[in-house]
Amino acid sequence: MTRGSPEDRYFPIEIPILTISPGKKLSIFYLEVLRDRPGILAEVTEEFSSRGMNIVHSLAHVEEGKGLIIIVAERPDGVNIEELKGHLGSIEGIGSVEYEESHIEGLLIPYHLFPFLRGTVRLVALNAKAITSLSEELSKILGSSASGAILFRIGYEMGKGFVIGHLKIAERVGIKDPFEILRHISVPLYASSGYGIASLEEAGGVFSLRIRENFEAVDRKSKEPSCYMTKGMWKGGLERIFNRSISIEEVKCKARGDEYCEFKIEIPRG
Amino acid sequence: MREGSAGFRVPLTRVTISPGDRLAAFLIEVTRDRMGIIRDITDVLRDLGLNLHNISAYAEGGKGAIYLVVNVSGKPESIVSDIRNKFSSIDGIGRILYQISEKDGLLIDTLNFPLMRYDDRIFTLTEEAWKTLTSDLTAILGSEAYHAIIYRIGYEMGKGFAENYVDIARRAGIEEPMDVIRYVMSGMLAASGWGRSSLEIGENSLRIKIEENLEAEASPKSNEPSCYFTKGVITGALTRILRSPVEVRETRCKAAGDEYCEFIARY
Repeated sequence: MTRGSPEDRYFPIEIPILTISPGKKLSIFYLEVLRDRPGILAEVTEEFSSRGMNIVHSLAHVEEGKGLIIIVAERPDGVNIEELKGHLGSIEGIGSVEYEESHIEGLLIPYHLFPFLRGTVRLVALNAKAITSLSEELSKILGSSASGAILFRIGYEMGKGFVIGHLKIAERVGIKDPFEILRHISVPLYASSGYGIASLEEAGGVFSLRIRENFEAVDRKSKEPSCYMTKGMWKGGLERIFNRSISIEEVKCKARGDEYCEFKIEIPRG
Repeated sequence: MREGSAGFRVPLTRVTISPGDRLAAFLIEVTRDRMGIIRDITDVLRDLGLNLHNISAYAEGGKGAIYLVVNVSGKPESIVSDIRNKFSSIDGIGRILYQISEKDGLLIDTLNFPLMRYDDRIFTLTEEAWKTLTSDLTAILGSEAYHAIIYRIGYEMGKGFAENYVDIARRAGIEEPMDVIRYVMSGMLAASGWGRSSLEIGENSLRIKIEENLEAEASPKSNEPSCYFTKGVITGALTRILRSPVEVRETRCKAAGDEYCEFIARY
């Protein structure tokens, strides 16, 4: 995998799950794309700009000629929404058009973007603050040792569950070797799912799993490696992939002040 | 105004599967959005004889990003740099990152990192991971202990979710706690993929209805309401927002055969 110049920094696509525009009346339009063609997005955006509606966000996703266009726009008084919907629906290639208004000025949280899917797999989004809150409070209530054990176990079970999806992808693509599943599916999916940028190296039969910007280490300080949930996730996932016990230790941790989190993994060859 | 639910599906994490094909992904920074920019990009691909597998384009405030995956099977090694060079010459385009599939037929996006919702990092949990967590913990601990633990986990996470809700509300100029609940919390449950929720406010009480609640759908059938995690989330979130104790009961549950899950909160 190559990325471009090493100096390049990520500029992630923000999913417009919500829009904040203080004082503005906001509307969101969902346009079904039945037949994608060059210029379709330009025609859609022209309908808004011709009515003086400032587009705050737009998101278009097309796959194999079909997809969805989402437009979040400020809604000035006097705009005839039904008339606009009619014009949008008459654009060649556009199917149904749905619409939602913000319930309160300045904030729009879409109702129709549900559920989240990756293929046929349903997903939910967790935010970093929720994990931090869980980790801190469990530690206060139970002490760090017990809370670490609980977080590890949660991670372990989640890891086993995540790998169900990894194995399905492997089957579709024709990957059978567990080491290939780990390297080509589990490792990149960790970043793709937002947890951290993982990379894997092997030396003398021991794997080093390096994770930059790991979700569990964000905004947290610790005297020792303490990404228990992460450790559990990888142990549970790897044991499912390899069908045998593996050992894993966290040897570096961003929460401790290291540059990244690192785990040493021993996978007995079968 | 809420239209009838159309249930549009948006791919949240990008995994492209096209068996046998060599794939290349590009993440293109848009420094100055303008009409026709996507057409210019797709024209480049057409001129190079490339098939576009999928494309997502996002813009806000005149800037944005475009992510696309193309099939480069049978093309020379130089094709990626050819594409980059042509993209670079398009007006309004900034940096360009790329990723080539290491295994034919599969490209898992690692360019779009981190996943963000405003200033908050998010990450995704699959339904399968949730099901495994709940079923295995129940088997190990027994249902009663599992319910107590998963409630507590939900409660602590709910407080964390609520920090996010309060932050969003503040940015939008919403200060009143009841408005935070009404305009932010309720919507965010659906916007985070947990379930479609709606809210009724009564005298010192709230009725929260959740359809397609992930916890209920992923749980085995039950004789009684069993969405302990959700109950914990609602309790923790309301406690944080209202800054006072809240008592929450689940009065209907999809896992118990009801049409939806319902929670009554008293404060």
